Amino acid sequence: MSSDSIPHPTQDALLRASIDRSLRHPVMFFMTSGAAWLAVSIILGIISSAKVHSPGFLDQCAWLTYGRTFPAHINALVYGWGFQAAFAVIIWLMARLSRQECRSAGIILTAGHIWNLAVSLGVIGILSGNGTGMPWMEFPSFTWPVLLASYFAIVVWSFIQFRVRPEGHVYISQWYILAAIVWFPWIFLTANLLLNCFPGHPVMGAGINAWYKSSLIFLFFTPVGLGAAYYLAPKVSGRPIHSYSLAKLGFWSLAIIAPWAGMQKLIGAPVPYFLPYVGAAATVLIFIPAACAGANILRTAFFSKEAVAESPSLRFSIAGVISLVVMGAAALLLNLPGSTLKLTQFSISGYGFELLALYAFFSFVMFGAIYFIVPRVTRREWLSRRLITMHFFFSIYGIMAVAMVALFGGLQQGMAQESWQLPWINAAISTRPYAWAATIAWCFILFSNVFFFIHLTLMWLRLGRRSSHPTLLVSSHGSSPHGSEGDIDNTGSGHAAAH
Amino acid sequence: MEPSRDNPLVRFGTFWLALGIFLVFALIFGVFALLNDTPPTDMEAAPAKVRYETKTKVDAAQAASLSADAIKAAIPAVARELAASQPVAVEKPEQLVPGAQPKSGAASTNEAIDPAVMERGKAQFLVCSACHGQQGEGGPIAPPLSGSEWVSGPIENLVRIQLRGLTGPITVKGTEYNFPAGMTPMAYQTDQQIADVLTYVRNSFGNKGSEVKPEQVAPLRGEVGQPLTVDQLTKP
Repeated sequence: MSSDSIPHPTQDALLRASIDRSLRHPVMFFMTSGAAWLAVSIILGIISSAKVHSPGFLDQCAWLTYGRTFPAHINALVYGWGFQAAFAVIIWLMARLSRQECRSAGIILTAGHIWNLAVSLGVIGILSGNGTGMPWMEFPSFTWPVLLASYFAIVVWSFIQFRVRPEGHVYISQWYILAAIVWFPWIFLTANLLLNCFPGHPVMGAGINAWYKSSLIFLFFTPVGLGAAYYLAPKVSGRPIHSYSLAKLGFWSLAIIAPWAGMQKLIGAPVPYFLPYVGAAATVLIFIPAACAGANILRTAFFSKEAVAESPSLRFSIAGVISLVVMGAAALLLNLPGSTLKLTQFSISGYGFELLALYAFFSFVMFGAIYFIVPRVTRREWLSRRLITMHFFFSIYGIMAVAMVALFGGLQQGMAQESWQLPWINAAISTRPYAWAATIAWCFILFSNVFFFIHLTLMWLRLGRRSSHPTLLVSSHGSSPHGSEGDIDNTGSGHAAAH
Repeated sequence: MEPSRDNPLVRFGTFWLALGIFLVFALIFGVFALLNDTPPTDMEAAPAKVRYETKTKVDAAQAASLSADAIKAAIPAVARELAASQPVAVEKPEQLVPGAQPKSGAASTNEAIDPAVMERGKAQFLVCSACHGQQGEGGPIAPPLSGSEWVSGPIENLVRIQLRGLTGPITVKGTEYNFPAGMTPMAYQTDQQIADVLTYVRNSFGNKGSEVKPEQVAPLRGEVGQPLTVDQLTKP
């Protein structure tokens, strides 16, 4: 049995290559359509951010009022980009780690198209004024069963692949991905059934909605991001994960703490006291899994500093993981019930925190995963390291600016709103410079993502470089550990080396 | 690779296991929802129930004393009577018949008013002018006295107001006034003082009215202490 469980390296390489080949179409579809939705979401985000400081911007068009563009922006970011990037990573990572080829690429592709259709109808529904008004659930209520059904049709195969995996150690990424796969329907069904189907107390409904928003971040996007980061860090740097126990602690602390978070948005509302306080406590404690995972992954990756500097996937992932640690610190500092919670409750800090989680952490890890997966799945290398570098720096500057501005501007706004003797317009005016900075930062991010989308589309069309050498962020004119460069199908030493 | 781990049966079973795991909480909700017999209570339902019960009680009480049919039957008779009635000349000032030419108050009796009374009344009026204005024009806390139909109207109204104060809404010259503080009772004033100031007010600021005598104030002293609202006054 033991000889079966450790296949010959060449056999394993061929198996991995065939897994990649089987997943080419679903993965590339999800990534490219996700990148397109990201661009759409950022455009809507720029319009919304502009309306905070210049309300007269594009005010002739009813479809572009703030109340419509802002929910459309967030929902396109979450369901259009976030979920599709997550799908690509989930199906590829689970297939690879369980050593199972994907047999349902057709079904997954169809479900992916249906998901895109539902998201499009949802965004159009919001912009035409039919949004439900519940944050992160603004799609008209007919979309959620469609989204759930296509979700099932996309990820159930990964569940099956895990079940039929070969004997052996289960890697931490598989736990995270499996957990995310199972947690999302629980969260989604709970929130949608309680808010859209069963009647209930309306103030509690606001709490359930806040809980859904927080759980989506901590129980779906965070595990998917961590699963990808835990895979990429050791893979690219060549070092094993620093500490297995720390990884276990991080996983279980996330699983136990995260479901309680979210209700802190309702502090001061007429709901039982313990609900928002438990939510605040849980959100504050999120720094534990964030710190554990962050310490673990960063120690693993920084053992090889050249890898972090040269590899696009590692650089993006490490930037994402550092942002995770920052997010953990922000969760701690912004949700203290005695002091900061009342300042951030009704300000743009909430938005900044969500962006920190969705873009600074999750999207950067997804970018890292995309830069890793696409060459393997298309058997072509990225065309231009300068495009990758531009994507990285513009995104980093942009999102750091947006996140910091929203967090600190939000605290300022909260403090100004708390001084109730002064007219409220003071608070709005004090927030204005931060809103300007956020708009400009979003423009940077749009710039970077347009190039990302172009680059990705060219790869999808299989117009990448035919090369056995990966595209790294530093030009390697010297000798390369990969041997001399040649065509991917015909390298000098004669092996189709999958790396 | 172990053959038994990966076979179509295991895959099929795992598919349905996954579906079940995804839906487990929804199924628990469904069970609870189906077993939940009590329909959701509208938050308005409880107070509305009380209101409806009160309404039924009031309707029953009214119908018991005067049935709706009796009211319906009486309406044409009363209407005919009113239409056929002729205006009758006013014999007493208190009697006012619609359509008749009112004898413009009691001032038509042409009794000359004692100037000493007016002087004393004018001095006493300084207290009133604090709220009602020096020309009786009214202000933020008191209605106008100038041209007021209450001032020219029945004397008992004025005496009662002076002795018991006045709270609640009052319509003066078509405008409704409702001052939260109302008018303080002035029962500390003697009958003579009250008569003097009321005579002064009834004959100043464009008003023309009869003199008020202390004998008209004394009978109403017994009412001092009871709060007064406009529905207890005679409509002028």
